Amino acid sequence: MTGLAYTVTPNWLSRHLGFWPVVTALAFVALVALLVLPVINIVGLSLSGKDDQPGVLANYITFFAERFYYQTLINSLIVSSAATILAVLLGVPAAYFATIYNIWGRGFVRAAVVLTFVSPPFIGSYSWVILFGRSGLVTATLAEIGIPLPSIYGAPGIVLVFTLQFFPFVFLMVSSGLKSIDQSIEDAARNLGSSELSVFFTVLLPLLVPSISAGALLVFVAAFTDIGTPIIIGERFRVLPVLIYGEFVNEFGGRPVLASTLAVLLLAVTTGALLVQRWYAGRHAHGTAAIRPLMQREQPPLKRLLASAYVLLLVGMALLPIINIVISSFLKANGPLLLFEPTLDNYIRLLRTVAVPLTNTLLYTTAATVLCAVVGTAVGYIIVRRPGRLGGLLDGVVMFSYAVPGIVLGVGLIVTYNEPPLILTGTAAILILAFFIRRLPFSVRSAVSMLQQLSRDTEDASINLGAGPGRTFLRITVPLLAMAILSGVLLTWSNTIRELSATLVLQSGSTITLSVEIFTEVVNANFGTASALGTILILLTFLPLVVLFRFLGKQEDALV
Amino acid sequence: MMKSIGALVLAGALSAIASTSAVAQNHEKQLVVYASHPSEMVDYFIKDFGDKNGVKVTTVKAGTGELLNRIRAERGRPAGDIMWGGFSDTGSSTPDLFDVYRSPGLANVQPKMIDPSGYNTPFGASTMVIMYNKKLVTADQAPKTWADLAKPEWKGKVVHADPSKASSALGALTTWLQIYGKGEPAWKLVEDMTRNMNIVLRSSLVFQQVGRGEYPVGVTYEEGAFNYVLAGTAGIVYPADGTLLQPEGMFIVKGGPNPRAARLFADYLLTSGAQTDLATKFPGRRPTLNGVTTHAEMLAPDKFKVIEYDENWAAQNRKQILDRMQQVIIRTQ
Repeated sequence: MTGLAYTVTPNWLSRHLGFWPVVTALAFVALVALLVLPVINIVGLSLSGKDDQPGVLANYITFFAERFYYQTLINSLIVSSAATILAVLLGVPAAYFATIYNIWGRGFVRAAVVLTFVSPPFIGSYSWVILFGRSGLVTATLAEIGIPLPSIYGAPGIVLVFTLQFFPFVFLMVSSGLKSIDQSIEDAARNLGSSELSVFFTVLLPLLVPSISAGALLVFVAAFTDIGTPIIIGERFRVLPVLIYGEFVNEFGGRPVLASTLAVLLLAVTTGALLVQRWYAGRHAHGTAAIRPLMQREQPPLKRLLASAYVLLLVGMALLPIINIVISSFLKANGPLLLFEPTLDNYIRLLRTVAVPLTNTLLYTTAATVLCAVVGTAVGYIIVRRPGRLGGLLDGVVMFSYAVPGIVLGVGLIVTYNEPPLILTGTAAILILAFFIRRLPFSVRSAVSMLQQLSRDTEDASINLGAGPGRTFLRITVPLLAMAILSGVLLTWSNTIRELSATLVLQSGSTITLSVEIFTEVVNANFGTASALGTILILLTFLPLVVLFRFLGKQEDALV
Repeated sequence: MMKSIGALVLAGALSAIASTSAVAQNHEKQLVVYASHPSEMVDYFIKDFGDKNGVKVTTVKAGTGELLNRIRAERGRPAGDIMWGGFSDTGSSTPDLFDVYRSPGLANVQPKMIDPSGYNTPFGASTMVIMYNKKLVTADQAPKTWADLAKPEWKGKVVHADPSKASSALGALTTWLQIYGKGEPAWKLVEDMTRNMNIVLRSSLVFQQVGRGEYPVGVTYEEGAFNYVLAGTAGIVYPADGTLLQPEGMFIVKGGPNPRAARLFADYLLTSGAQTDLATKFPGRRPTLNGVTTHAEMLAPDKFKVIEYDENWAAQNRKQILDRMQQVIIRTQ
């Protein structure tokens, strides 16, 4: 027995099969089990539906023949593209100013940018209506002094909310990209007489293409698959995910074939966006190692003021829903409505019930984040450093996880793991694994983005000096990537902690999380309680940041 | 008054003992309830039931559609015992997911509320109403009938849920069709009404948006609107052309892990103790038990026009109605 156990240890395998092939194989097993199989099963289930359902092709024909349907695809493309372009236009300068300029409130900006995209689910979208709806707080106040605001409803409102909600993706990616550019590159350009503007456009921007496009892809996919915002403020402007969601919440079984058709279209677009980004970033990949990262520069007062104002205004706008949630959590409730009377009632009401969802949320999020960091870094390495057919396939499968809406993945996991040989439904494990697989692309992306800019000289030196590939990875690559891994952990934590759509179908009551509690309270119109839960969630997202800042001391800038 | 309530509670307690004894022999000590009703109400009854019977109750709260899809996905190995939510015919229309259970407590329930097929435990009744925001519309201006919603003055001002996504909205649709003769003129009216409406996916968005003043008028269930009436921002119109008064759903999942505890829970909801709590603590819902009165500020059921709702017709033609409504939505939205 011991002999057998010994023979299958990773050491034995890596000696006989090689470290990376084994890691690659393990990654494939995890991806097939958690992503491919559930999706195949859900599509299979949907196709095995009723006899009177028309075939798959017939649904495509219906989709492209009926304006009601195909218009949602066009609408989705319009708002997602618009939000992506705006997020890049707003986010890149913000990241540049926050990194290079000595703007005021840098610490606040960095913290706030992370907070903006961790706005609690559902209630965050609803906050925009509370503030900017037809009878919204801001709308009504401004109307009283004679300033009419345009409606938040419809396409412009969705684009505005998406842009403010998702530009932090670009900000984080570009900030992290700027850190990997060596000061000598900028110095050389400046010494040759280039102005700041021309250095930015001709030197820095090309080096930032992988980061910008990675951020843009995140914005596009997040906007393209988002449900909460368009459900609440879309009105007649319908987008594709809302149609799919509609089929899943359909009380009468829905139309599974139509739902799967819609899901396939959604997948096609997100996968297409991914391929475009990979092709584009690949063409612009540069190997640079930042021995001496870009320095922060003192700016003349006016420039400093304008740059600070720009960044603070942008971040301030994006923070509005969070401010609204925090304030609402301290307001007295009159039935479903909140009064302007401060109170702690909402929190006191929570004391009774919050322990279980709170513990669950912390536990599952931490477990999934650790899994993501370990697997994500290894997979990122395989994709960049060991390109080839398997690496490409691995990349494709990981990124496929972006494109699978949470609710589809959730139902798929139930169908797959509700029966022997492996029963996972109702357990904490199925939630952790769902969190893990949903957020793996984020960890992989950030590792890939960094590795593409990291010269492999040091690794080659290590291999040449006789260290094995496993040892080189752990001793050389991982430390070099520490910042990227940390930033990936941050993204994973803050996104996982608010995961809602898959959790809704996978939680079993005893595995309830904070985001599900928030959702339930919003749906029941208990905005006070929902806001109090939301505030707790915001704090939880912020806590690891504070710890990391302290722990990392001066290197805190590198986080964002 | 107090005395009669006291007597009712006592009678309820006695009948509870009587009815529980039938199934109480070693019922399971656990129960898993899937609920789409408001969480405060769900939490209250579950705690009360759990304390009284020594049962540890776990709840999963989500929308009715999500829960039904979940039960469907778990069919091979059901994890839930109770589906608390949905329409009165949810059980009889999906017999592969639910079991028939006729609680002894049904003996005291208003006969109209009893599910002839035996799937539903009718713990409460609900009616569909027109809700209006008091700041945006006065009581005089508010629509008086369902048909009024088709008038041009309401264009873009009415919010309503998609009947294929929300059972309450389907209840309203089938009511309109029945009032106006089920034929082409009825569908013409529905199409004119729908043209004026913004159709949303979640029924709770209707009363929330009207209550907050985002829309002047909405079509919603009484309970959702009534909480905003109590809060002072909304009014209710009981349409003069009539509305339905139907039991709400509570079903026992087929093959659930705790069948005896599930039946005990069904019995519990029909005790007069639980029914009195429903009427007094959760305004907006109408108890179904004979002799239990509705909330003081709610209109008594004989004060508004209730139609003879043809449940069989609605259930048998549901697919055609939903398909046709989908066409109406495609044309008008």
